[in-house]
Amino acid sequence: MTIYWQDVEEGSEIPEFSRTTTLMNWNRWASVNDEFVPMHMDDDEARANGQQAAFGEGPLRYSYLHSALREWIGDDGDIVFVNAQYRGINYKGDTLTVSGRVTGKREENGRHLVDVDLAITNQRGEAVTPGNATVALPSRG
Amino acid sequence: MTSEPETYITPEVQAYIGTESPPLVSPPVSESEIRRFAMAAYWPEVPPRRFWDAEYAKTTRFGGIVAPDEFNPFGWMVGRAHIGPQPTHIDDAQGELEEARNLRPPGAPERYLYAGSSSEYHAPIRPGDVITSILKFTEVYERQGGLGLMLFYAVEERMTNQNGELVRVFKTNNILY
Repeated sequence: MTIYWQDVEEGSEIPEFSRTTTLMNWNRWASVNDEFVPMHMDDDEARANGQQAAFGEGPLRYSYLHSALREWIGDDGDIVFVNAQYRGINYKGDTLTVSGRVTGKREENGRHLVDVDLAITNQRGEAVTPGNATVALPSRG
Repeated sequence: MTSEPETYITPEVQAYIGTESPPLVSPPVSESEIRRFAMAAYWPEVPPRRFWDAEYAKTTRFGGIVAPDEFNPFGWMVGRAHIGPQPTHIDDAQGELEEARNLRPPGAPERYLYAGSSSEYHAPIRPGDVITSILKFTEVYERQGGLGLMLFYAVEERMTNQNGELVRVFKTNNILY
């Protein structure tokens, strides 16, 4: 389904994107990126570095922000910009939910842009990854 | 434990601003790499078809498979041809590669936090693309925080494709303390 720029309203929410994360997600991410960091794979290594247990990779959360945007805009929209800050730690079993709210619409160099505030919140209600993004959408007519 | 200096931003660190890494050039991106990346990123749900179904992707405005925006073409870089002689051991080669691209300011503390990142996306990555990445140390400042004097720095990565088109500008914000 195509989402058109004209159909998006400031203040509206984008569909939520959610994943419950464990080593099954983190190890797959490590594998495709060749990013085998002991603290993301082994509780003992994480504890030796002052964490409670092994924890998920920041770039995977960054990818979830992108996936949430893609699920919303489909094949006809483009991601133009994504910004994220890594705050909380993503422990095993955490459910991470990406939410987003449209903060503005503008036209720039012939592109129809939508600005969005993003957040990843865990099941305890902690905002672990605030961010923001800009997408370009097709325009009607 | 050594006492904390009054500043980490020495003239040497100031002079480090603008320092660039050697270029890293990817092997040609393959459809399978794109599919695996997308599967890992979306796991356990199936990713959008344009990332893995060539027939479907032909019907989209891209005209073929494209990679997810945040796709990393630089995993498993040991077979690379562009930094130094060919390695025999993966671990050593990975360490050497990371060293060549590690733009940490000289004389900074050891403990590291990855604070944030931002990306601007331009040309999409497609199968067959050869991506070049150059990192640049762009910004440094410091603040007194709960963990003592903390050094903040930013690194900007520019990725271009084999046609010289800009693919992505990726900025990371980093903390040493």
